[in-house]
Amino acid sequence: MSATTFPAQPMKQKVPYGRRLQAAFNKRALLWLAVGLFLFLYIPIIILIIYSFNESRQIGIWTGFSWRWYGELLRDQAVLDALKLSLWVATWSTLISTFLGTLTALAMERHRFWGKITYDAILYLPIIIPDIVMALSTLLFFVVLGVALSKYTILIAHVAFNISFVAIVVRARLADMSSTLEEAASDLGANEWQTFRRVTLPLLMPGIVSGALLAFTLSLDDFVITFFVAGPGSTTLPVRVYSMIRFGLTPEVNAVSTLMFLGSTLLVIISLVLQRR
Amino acid sequence: MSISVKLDHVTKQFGEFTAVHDMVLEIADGEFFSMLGPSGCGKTTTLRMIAGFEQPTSGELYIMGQPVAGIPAYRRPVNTVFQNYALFPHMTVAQNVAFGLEMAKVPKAEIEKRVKEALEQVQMSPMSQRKPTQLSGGQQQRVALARALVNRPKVLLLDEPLGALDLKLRKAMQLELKQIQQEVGITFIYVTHDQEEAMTMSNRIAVMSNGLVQQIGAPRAIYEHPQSRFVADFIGETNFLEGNVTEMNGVVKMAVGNDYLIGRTDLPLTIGQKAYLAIRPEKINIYPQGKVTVRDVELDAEQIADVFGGRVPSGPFDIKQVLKQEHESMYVNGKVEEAIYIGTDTRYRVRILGNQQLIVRVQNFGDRYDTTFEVGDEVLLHWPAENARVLTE
Repeated sequence: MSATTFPAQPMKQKVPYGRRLQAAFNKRALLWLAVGLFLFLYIPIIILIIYSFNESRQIGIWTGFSWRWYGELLRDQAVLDALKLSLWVATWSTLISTFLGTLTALAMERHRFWGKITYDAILYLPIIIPDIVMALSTLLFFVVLGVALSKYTILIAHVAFNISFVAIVVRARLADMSSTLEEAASDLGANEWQTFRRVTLPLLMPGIVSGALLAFTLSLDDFVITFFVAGPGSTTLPVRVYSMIRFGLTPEVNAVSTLMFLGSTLLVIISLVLQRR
Repeated sequence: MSISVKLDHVTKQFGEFTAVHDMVLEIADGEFFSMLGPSGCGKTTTLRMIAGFEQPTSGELYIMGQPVAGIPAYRRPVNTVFQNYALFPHMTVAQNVAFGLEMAKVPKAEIEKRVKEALEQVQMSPMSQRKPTQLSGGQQQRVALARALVNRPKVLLLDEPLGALDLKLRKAMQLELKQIQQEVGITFIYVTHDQEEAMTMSNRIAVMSNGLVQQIGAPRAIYEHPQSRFVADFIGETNFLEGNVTEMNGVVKMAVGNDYLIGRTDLPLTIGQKAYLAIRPEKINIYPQGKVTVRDVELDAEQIADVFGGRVPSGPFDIKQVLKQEHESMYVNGKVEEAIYIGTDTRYRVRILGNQQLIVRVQNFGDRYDTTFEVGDEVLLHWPAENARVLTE
């Protein structure tokens, strides 16, 4: 075929005016849709944050800016106790579930064993099934076993649902990591433990930390499951907030919610950044 | 010479699929041995069994005389250069190279010294503090080589280590690898699908296909004496002419219609058997038909003089008269159907014996010496019997 059959430069496509107008409209419409959606999602939270700084006890009537409710929060022993318990549960459940979740991810990604496919499906269940079902089944489990509800039952329940999340995040990282690196370590004389400690674990670390942060956030924010399995006197922050609302909405609830929102957001952002590395 | 690696009827199956079938192989100490074949021929699986990443389904594998069944990769006296280098991305070049020595609990001072030496050997000393991602492909390749060699393994396994490099760098690295192998004097087992690469570096080559070793031998033996159609076809370029064996006394005569072809064979053949005459394009001589002068042909003047009573004829003569005198050789008329100039050579496609085609390659020496042919020219093709091998399917 001779070269002259093709024009030297590709021909400029002439787009009809109507089509161009439509394209411009589509672009603008998409922008407004996005803005609308974000407003819909965040306006309630923004209002919540604004009113946490309201001087007045009355919700909905702005009287002036004040740190008053944050001060009250710091003097509210019940809230501080709840925060302490929340942090205790979140820390321990994160440590335990990160350890177990990482091992689970390693088993699922690097080993073959009997019943793997079934186990794989079951692993995702805590993420898929509704919280309320998880909560009820966990409660029934404790009741059947005759375990008295306490802060430890909260911890066990949180570990149970966190393992799945950690395993998924770590496993995604592991799947991206070629097993050739582990073979190379073995080839250079590293036994299985040395290979894990010197090669697998350091490369997996961003995934593990990110999974841990996710677990910490989920544990800190959980209400439904905690509400069911909490023993008397074991009140976490979300459960405390719920009981405060029952006594009427005060800006103190807004203040504690604002702090929880900021804390969770920060952890999620760190987790996302680490996952991308 | 002692044996460094021995495979005794080794078979590897993955479920229903047989990757390596009943392989018998002995690799000498200090040898540069290549396993050559198309992808899926079982060469990488064989290498992985020697490394210890795969266990044979049956058969026994020996390294330095010791059976290695059940010995994990980390306790074998072999090291591997991986296809994609497999450098640890979280360690520097120096840390990568030191890894094997640290695992072997070599004293710190000695590790430092040996890492330095190894990096010098592959000319990577200035890069020792870089991370692998900051290196080019060729540099990563050198680090991978240093990381393996620093452990002074008895056997070095190389899995297509030059596959990811560009042609020029690959050629330079081939020579360098060969040189390093001679310096350190250890056995290299090299896996590749590039026949030129295998030919350039190896003492011996095993040509594999479908999990079977087709032929083992020195590059020259593999190229000059292929034992099967697959080997002749895979290594270099080969013409195949089909015919039936009619006569065997030193040379093999094959009937093609009413004509015949001659060649030699290393295989046991029977009269009447269908066979292929395999002949390389560069091993065929091409001459003009009819009268020629001495200037037109690349023939020995003495040989010509013998035919014409001790005197080289000054005028034109019939070249067939000369070729006839040659012991056990074949000449056949043909017609040029295609002539392509490719710089170092000219390639001709010539039709012979009615409907068979032969590719003929003639090296270009320069305008003064070359006789060129045009499409449509009537030519005479000639080859000595030993230049053509008679093979079976």
